[in-house]
Amino acid sequence: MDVATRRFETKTSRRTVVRTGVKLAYGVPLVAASFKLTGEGALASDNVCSCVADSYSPKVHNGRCYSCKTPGSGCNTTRGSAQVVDLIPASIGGETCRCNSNTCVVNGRAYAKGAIIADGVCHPEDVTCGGSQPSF
Amino acid sequence: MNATAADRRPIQRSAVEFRVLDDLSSVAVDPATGEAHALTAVATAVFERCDGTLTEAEIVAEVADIFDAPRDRVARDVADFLDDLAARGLIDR
Repeated sequence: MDVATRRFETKTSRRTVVRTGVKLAYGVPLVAASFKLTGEGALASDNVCSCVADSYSPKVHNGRCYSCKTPGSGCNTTRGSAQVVDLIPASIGGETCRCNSNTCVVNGRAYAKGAIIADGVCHPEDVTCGGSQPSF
Repeated sequence: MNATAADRRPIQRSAVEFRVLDDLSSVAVDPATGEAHALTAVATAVFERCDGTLTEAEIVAEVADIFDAPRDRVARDVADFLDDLAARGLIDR
């Protein structure tokens, strides 16, 4: 396969933009968030529900970007110095995914307050807490 | 003769790990610095075209076409964004 062919098969195209379900509108291209990966890094596979105290830095889990909730308002993980934190999907690529009201409805299904939507599916918030591995 | 900015062919740094997500946003990780960068969908379309084969002008044309956006606006935005990517060490221009 030549380079040009491969390029058009794999890169964002009109077709892939439409395939997302909603035609993506143009917006200024930018780096939505940058963050340092550490030993307790966001890309670590064992536990990503961790944020250093007082840190609001975005974290990555399964390739998605999340920000930390207000320190102290979430739950503790099993990691020693790492405090808390539920994962709040950050705004990235125009996608928002948190149920902030008492209930929210996504694709005709109702979910409880605090549910987290990932990949179009809501998950109970508590799966990210208590040191357990987020299941999405 | 000096190449204009539009003639330059930006290229991703080889060490950078790049992953496009379902919503067409992406994450670029630079193992050298340990930094991860979350890119919007339009930024992703630009960054993935930084393969050293396309000129900046060609990238602008493709992105403008994909998103049905005015080319002059895209040109300004892409130039600024490429400056930002270069400053972050993600591409060479």
